[in-house]
Amino acid sequence: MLRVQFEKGMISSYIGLKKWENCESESSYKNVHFKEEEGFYLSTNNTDLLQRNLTKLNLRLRKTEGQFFPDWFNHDQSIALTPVPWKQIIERPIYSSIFKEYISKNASANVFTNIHSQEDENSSSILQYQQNYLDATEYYLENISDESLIELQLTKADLSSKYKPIVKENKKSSFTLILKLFDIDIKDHPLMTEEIRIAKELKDMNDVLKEREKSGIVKFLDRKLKALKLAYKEFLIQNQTPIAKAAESNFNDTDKIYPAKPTNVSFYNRNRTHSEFNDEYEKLKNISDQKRTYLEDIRATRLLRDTELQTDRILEYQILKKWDQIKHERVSQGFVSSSLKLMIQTTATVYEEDKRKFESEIAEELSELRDLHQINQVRKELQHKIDVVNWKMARLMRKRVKPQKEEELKCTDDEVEETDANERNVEEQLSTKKKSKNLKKKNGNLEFDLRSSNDKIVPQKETAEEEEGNIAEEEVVKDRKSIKERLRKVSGNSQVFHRRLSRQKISNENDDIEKEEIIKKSKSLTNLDLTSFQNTFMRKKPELIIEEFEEEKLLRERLLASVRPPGRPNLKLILSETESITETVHCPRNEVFRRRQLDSTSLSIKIFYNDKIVVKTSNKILNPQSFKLEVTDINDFGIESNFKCSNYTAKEGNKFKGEELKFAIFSLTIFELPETIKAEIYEVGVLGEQLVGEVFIGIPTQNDLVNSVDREIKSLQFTGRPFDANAKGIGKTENIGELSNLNSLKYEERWVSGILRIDLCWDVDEFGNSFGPSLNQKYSLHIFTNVVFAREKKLDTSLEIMDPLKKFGCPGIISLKKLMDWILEIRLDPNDQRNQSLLRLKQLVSQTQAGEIPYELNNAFSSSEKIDLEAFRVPFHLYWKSKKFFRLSLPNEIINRTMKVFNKFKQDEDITNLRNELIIDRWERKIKALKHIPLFDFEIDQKMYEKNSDPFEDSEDLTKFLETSTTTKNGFPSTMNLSETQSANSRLRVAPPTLRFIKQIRAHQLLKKARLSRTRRVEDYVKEEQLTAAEPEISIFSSLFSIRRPLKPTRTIKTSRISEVQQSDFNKNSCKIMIQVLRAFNVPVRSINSKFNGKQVVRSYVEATFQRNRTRTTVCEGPNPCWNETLHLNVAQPVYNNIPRNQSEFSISDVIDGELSYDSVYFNLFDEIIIDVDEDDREKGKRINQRIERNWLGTFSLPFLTIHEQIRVDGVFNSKFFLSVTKNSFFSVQMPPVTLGYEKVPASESLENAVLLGIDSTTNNTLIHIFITLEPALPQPGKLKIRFETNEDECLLRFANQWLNRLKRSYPFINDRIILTTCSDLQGKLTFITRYIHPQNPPQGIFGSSVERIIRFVSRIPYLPSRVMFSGDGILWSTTEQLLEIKAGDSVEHSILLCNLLLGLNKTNVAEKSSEISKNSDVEFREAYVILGRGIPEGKTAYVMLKEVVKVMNSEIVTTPSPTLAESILKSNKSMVIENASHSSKTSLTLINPVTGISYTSGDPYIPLKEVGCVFNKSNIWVNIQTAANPNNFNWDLSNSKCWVPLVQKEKNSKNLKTNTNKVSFDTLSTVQVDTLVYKNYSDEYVEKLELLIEKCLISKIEDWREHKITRWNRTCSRAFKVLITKFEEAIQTGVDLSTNPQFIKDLTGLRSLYHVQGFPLNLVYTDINDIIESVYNTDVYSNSDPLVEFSLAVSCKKYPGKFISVWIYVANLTR
Amino acid sequence: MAELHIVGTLIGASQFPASELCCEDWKLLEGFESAQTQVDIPAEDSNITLWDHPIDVHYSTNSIEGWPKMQFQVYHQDSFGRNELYGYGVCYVPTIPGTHEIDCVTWRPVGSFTDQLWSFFLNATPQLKNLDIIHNPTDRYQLTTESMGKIHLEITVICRNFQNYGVCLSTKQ
Repeated sequence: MLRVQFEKGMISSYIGLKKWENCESESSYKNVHFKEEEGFYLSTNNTDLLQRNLTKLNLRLRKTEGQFFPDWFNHDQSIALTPVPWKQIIERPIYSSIFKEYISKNASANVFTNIHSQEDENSSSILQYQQNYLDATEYYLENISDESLIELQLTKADLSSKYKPIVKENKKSSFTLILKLFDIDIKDHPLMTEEIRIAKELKDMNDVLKEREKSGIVKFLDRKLKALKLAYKEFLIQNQTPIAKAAESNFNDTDKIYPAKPTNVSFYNRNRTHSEFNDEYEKLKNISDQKRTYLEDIRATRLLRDTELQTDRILEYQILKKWDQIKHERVSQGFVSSSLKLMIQTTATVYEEDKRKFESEIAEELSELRDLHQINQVRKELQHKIDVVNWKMARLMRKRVKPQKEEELKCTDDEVEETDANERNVEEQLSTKKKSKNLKKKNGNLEFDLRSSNDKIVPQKETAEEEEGNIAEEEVVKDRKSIKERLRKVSGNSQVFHRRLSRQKISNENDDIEKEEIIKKSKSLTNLDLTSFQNTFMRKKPELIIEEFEEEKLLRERLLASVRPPGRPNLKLILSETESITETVHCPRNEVFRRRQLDSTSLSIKIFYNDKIVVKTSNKILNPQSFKLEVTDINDFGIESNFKCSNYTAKEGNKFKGEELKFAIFSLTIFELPETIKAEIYEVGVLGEQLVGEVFIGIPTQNDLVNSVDREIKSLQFTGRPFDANAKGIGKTENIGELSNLNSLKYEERWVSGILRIDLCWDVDEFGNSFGPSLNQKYSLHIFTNVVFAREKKLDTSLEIMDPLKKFGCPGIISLKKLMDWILEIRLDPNDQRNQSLLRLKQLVSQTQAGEIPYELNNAFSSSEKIDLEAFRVPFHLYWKSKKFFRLSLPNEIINRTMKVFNKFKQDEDITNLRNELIIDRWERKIKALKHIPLFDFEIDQKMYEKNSDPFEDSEDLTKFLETSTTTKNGFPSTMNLSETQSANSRLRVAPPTLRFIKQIRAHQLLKKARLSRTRRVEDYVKEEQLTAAEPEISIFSSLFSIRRPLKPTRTIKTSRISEVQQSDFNKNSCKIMIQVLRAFNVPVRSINSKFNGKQVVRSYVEATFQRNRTRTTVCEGPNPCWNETLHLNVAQPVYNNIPRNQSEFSISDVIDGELSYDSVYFNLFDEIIIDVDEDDREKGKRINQRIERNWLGTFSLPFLTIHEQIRVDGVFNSKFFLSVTKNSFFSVQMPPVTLGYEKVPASESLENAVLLGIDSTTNNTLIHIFITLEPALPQPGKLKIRFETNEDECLLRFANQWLNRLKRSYPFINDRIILTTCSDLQGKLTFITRYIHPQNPPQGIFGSSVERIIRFVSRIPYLPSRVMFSGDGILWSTTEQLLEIKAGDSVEHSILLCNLLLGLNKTNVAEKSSEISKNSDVEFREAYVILGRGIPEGKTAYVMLKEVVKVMNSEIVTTPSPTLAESILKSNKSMVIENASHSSKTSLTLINPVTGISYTSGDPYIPLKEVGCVFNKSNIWVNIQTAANPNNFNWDLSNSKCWVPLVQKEKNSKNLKTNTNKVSFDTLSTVQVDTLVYKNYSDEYVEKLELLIEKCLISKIEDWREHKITRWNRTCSRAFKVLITKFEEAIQTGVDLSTNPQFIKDLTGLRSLYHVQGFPLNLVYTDINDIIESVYNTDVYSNSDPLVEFSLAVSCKKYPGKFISVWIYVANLTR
Repeated sequence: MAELHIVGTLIGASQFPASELCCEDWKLLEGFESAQTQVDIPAEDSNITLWDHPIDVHYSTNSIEGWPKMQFQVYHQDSFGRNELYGYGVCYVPTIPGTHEIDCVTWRPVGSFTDQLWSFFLNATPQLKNLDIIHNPTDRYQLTTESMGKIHLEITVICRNFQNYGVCLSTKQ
């Protein structure tokens, strides 16, 4: 039974548990404790193994290893068992047996009986208790060598016992000391120049700084702080609701607790609630206690860290100051006397980033302070409530007892109000007082900054401040109390009081005197009065005024003092001794004299042992620069007969922690007990010997042996004779002749001082036995010398006096009880490596700690056994007391040193182990190793690996690219030239562009982490062909009974399963993109006044390009062509390592990871022009000689992955989708801003067409209707499975899930819509999407000034679908900071950024408004939401909904001074203005596509957003439950519950508890975004370089594409274009339509008068150069076959904050 | 710093169908420290479960304390797909460079009579709460355990630079 009980602690049992949980065991170890485990075991084969197990073991051993391993058995064929199986040798016997024997013999020995009695009974005096601190075993250890004891023991001991007692074999009455003299370092000396002195100080400081850096305490504290914060956050999340509830209950219960008039009836009731209340109070108190400890921990750590940081900074500052002094000194004295040189390296930092960090730090700390304050407040309030309740009860009781008292109390009731008012005044006063205190503190701080040089001052100061603060608070309390008391006193006469108060207000000086008076008076008050007064005081809720502003100021000051100020460069101080010292010849006389004097000064050391000279070192001359003296030899020894000195050859290596030191070593054989050891330092100058200083050396303890590894050199400081620093002219070079100097010349006393480094220890013999005095010898000698301590006296007291260290036990052996207490008390940092063994111990302790019996266990046993369980409830101390020792594991270093391993090259190797770093990096895929990493560091070459670095990190990359592109043949062929010619194969496919951008985006750290963070699945290792699922069998009967409507055929839905079957039938290595081009609308026509003199003629066709394959439709005339043609484009086989696979199939990885994923289908709309080439009119009619030319009208592109995704991912939906497309979904063609020679057909003329097609005619856009699909469909990637870890509250998540499911059940049509409540962040953690919305600062400067500019800015961020980025499906959203870091994002990420910036703009606008009264503040407020839905062509997409409320002045709607964004769109469109009933403001809705930057009104029929799933903002998520998903015909009023269902219900339902709690939590969800974004900028130089590069590349490319034809470049035109396109960006930012700008048109027509220009500007977001080349290629401008054609090209790059670049390219061909 | 490669295979075991493997301490340069093998259903006649799970770890160290050891947890997957503990085992990585064949014996806690009853009928064997016990003999000694089968390993140990630090590793005879 016992054993089972014990095991319960270690194994988790399944018995009696309803759930399969681990049951906590509380069983004590006490009864099953085996003494053998201690390792001090000496008994025989008394094993505690079960006989059953023994038999089993025996059988097994005999069976398996019996013959071969006879070691297993004893001679008697029993199993050879040692009691402790892992220990072969028994070291020493357990104390008890010996002691018992000893005690039985020597009953007179007090000590042992004491111990004995202590074990038996607890009736021991304090003295005895103290004695027992010395563990019994320790006694044993010490006394075993005592002669008498050993004799006694050995004679009685069993000779057959195995142990070998520790006995000192050779007993000598002499000791051997070993003395190592290292060096003397003189700190101050009259012969020292000021410069040298300062230099030495500087060096010391630098050493300290380096040491601090090495130990990395700041880093450690930083990490600790982070961990603490995290823990606190987690704790908050776990305990969020109860606290919120607590806060609420506080306010709700007010009525219950404060009844208007207490009556006798309600007394008992209240009594009951009182106890309940107490219970709850306890619970809350616990939580808030924990919270407070967390916060206090954080605060303490932070303070500590800041102090450390401050110390570092002060040190740095001091060093710099000292260096300045040295420099000054050198200049002023005119020579250099020390070789010190300080180099300061600076690294520049970004101001904004620093600033942000700084501010966030402050904000964090402030919020913590606020929390702390709040907790205190809550606690106080609770306490107050309880007090009030108590008071009420007490009052009631009193009432009964003394009814006459009632009147008096009533009186006080009336006074309360008065007192309240007065109190406020008083408090005001107090706060002003506090402020003045704070000011004082600040002054102190400043002073301290100036003066402090010692790092120890800082914490002291800190504590001093705290004390001051405490005092201040105490005073405040006192003040308040005294005033209260006075109030009470004056209660009868309130007028007098008022007078007094006013007087007090006026005279603050008299305050203190008054206070004293009041206190005196208050003392005379009766007790009763006092209590009743206190009670009245209690009735007011205590309120703490947090002076946030003050606090923040203080914080700021503290941080500024400790952290590097933002924007300041990082300093690195490098100290070297390379400065050349001025030669004596060039020195002034003083210095020459000094040096000469110094040369004749030498030092020597004398060592005294018990005041007898033992050793004297030879005279040595000081090192003139460092003032150091290395002791290397010894001159003569003392002649005392008691000593025997000899030159000692070190047995040990002369290494101390790796550093090689020179020293003089000698041994000392002595017969006297050491009393004093002293060293005297003498200066031998011209005048003879002179004592410089003396220093006493501590007598080494017993454990200081020559072979012990953990000894350290002692640095002993000495001070000698004083001297006047200014008196002599030796060290100084001041010109005394000057009068001004005379004044400053003061007597400044200094002392000669220095440091002697020495090492003293006892020698050992070859067996490792000490030659030092053992304790007993000491003891006996002590007794011998001091008769006071005779034998009769208590042994241990004398021992204590002898060696106080002994009190704490042997090294490594620690008083366990104290340790346990300490361990339980202290909160160990589990992240600290050093704490590991302690943690383990703690674990053990807490395991054995008997607390409550767990509920499960309690149930598991019957009632009779429960008594048994009680027995286990023993305090853990008792258990641990039985274990006398616990040895903590030794530090690694000591083990290494003892074993003499791993201490050789440790320091050098740590710094330079490139190989290991590379291996780790390779494993983490930070680098790509091109070769095997060689064995040795010196073999490692930069070429062997390449870093997966940030593509935008530097312009270095770019210049390299530029260089390579320019160095190749004929002019500027780009790097792609080679690859192009190589793979010019039948498919006419030029090799894929190098795809730098996407590759690099994917290689980005953040994304990689996100991808790697998912758990690895079997598929990652094992590639198995997936089985195709069988087609679901449709019963014959169902087809029989199905409705047959032959005249209305329905579309068979292309489900994934069916297509999989199809797929197996198809040849998978051919895949086609099927494109059905149906019709276009509103194609621009040629201008009437153009060269081609048709009337509104346009002969348009569509060309589709994919992987540089082209296909086109036929020509169709008119502005509204109808082609109705089907085009095919082959999808190229995946190329693997440049070898096309024969039987390749489109596997998922090919599509997603391979090149296919980067390809897009480009659609171009062209106008075909037929030009008569024949100039000869005679042949006309007989011969046709025409040339076909074409003009590019517009383009749009569709990533291949979109097609891939849309068809397959949601098969059912997409079929629906495409059906619905036929109604009114068109691809909007991206038109260049200006197309020369073309114009739009006026809307009125195209009206009839529009009516026919059922399209709204008001749009200006050119629209093409196209249907695209893949044939056959390609396999789809699996969902990106990520860990579903979450930081969210479990209950919230569940609530959101249930809510969504409920919705989906009640509105089945929303099932396919995109509705999300959670997504995963890049760490793969589930996060509520509302957390992503948070107002953020727009970029500084003009880009953040208006809505248009912000939209433009966001649209300049490269767009990459998450599929391409993560190569898999999954909802991974990065935060805006990460988006700016990655530099590409999904549409959702774009919209989140846009939404946040718009909100941020709102904020700044408000701020501006308050500062200056702006006249045109027409936009009252903006609300921004993110819409999730589907659109064309992206598929899953996100838009931003901007809701603007416009204030209209006096209903002058028409003449609003500055139109809002929505209005500017509305001007040309149908107006969508909701006018409020008040007519004073109106709301407008704008939908913005963040990727393209185009804004739509909500009623726009051509809005590419086709389906709205849900809308969310910071605090809520609304789901669209309208049957119409199309945004142009439904209700956008989010408050309409028939159309939108919010996740968090509004006030209406807040009575409901469940939703209420949820509401609270949703509102309090913290954001995942940072408060302030940092935008990095490219340098202008980089942008210029890029511009140049693009231009060069394009020129060479176009020349290549034209193949054999000549390409002429028209430079003048290019220049003209360049001027033009630089204007475009600004025009778009401000929303000006350039095509209507007369100046602009004039510019263009100027060109056109000379040439016939065909060309257009292209606008792209810079991702990489290949993207640009590709899009230029697709315009087909270069393919003009006119022999006289000229080309012009202009490139303009415009940088955006956050390292984004908008590229404008104007390509044109010119014909005369 | 001295380096240690451990390359090898977890060949299999005589009785169990699944295992987990893990090493501790030391600075890891390359490789996975813990992994899980596949579930093997042994052939009817053979007594040996085969995993052939690769082991490839690379450590660097500046101490010889805490020489890596391998810790195993063997699980049994029953016909219901439940994973049940079959044994714990621990073995040191040999300090002798070269290839070694190692047999690691395993054990599992027995528990009380009721525990045994449960494990017999319901396959619910008691498990250790604290896996430290596997490699920490002090506590394990207090458990009633039952010996299970053996895990077979083939490990090649490659040491580097140890001699530079005064560590002399014996060579295989």
